Amino acid sequence: MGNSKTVFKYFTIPQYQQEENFLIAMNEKGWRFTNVTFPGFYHFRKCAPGQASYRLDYNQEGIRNKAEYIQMFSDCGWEYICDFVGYSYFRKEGKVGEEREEIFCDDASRLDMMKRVFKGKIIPLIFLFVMVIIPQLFMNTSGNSVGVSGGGMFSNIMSFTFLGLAILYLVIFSITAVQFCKYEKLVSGDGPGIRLKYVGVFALIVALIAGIGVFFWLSYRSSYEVSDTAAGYVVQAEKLNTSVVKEYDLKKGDTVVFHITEFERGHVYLSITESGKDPIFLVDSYNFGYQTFEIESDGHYRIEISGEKMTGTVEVTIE
Amino acid sequence: MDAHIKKVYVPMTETGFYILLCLRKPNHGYGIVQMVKEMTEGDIVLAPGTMYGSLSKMEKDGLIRFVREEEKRKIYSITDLGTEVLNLEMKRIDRLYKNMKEMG
Repeated sequence: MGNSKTVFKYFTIPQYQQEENFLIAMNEKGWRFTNVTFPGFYHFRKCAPGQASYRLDYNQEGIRNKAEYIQMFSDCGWEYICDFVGYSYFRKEGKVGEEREEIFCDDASRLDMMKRVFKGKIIPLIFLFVMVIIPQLFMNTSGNSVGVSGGGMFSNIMSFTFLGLAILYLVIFSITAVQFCKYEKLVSGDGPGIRLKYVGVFALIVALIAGIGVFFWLSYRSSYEVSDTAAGYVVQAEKLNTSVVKEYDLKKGDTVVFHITEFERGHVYLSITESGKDPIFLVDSYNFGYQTFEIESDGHYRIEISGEKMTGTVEVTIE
Repeated sequence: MDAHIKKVYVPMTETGFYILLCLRKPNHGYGIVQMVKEMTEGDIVLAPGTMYGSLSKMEKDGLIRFVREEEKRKIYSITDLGTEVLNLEMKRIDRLYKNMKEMG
């Protein structure tokens, strides 16, 4: 049995109360919190199981004037433990519960702390969200990411990563908004002004999500026609954002001809794949013209035309 | 007194009021905590996070000023603006008290 223990736990920025409760629960089980390291490793040392309060403050000025800041807390009976990503952790021995020990004695100062968290952490996040995450999401999903085969709209890892980040961000924003709303109600009463403000914020978030959705819908809505011809098929696309696949049994000596008869904009990939194998023919084209390929062995082949916002006409003929 | 000060400090929280009341004589944060505890017979124990936040906010808004540091404790004192705000609050509470007595 070791005398120390490390637990990984992740709390998003506004979840400091959950974090406090976690530390209090660990102390009750006989684990005294000693430190936390990036990205969320909580270190504990064995102690007598008992009650202790753990509280988090977020005060950048306090961290700048550390000696004096810690002195204030220690005068009031709070032991300073550590700082982690802007939060300062404090501990006080004693009963948690009815006489719950707090580092804030009124809701106004609790709200002030949340405002500091908002200014110090959430605003930079919003900035990052608007300047980096959203543009990246668009670039990765509407840029050069449509794969040769599969070709769907979220076809690569980057898209998923940024989509995940965007969702995580929206969750953090929502949790923060809910907490703010709760406290502001406590401090200044449940006035219609507050409700209006938060309804406004939520409307903005919903509008943002809806905006992103509409944007994707507009960028990815494909509009095209596929028609069979005597010896192949034709894809006429107003906007091709997906892939059109047809399968044929081909013999040695057959020639597949791709003829791009019209091409206005976008990007198109052409490929031939024998079933169960890697593509044997693969070109991407921005231009008019012919692409031909001669089949070298009998088999079952898939012929694919995959577009990225492509406007134009491609004819596939097997000769 | 500008609109911002009026909006934030009138009326003010009990914590804010006690801070200004105590800082008519220079004192540090914990000194205020002890004074208030005595004055209220232990009913009001100001918490350190609240005290630290309020003191730095009031200093920034010019209601109190930093005098000197003693053993890692910052000593503050009320300013003219702070006194002005405190007087406004005192008048308000005075009226509250009178009305309470009259109606009660």
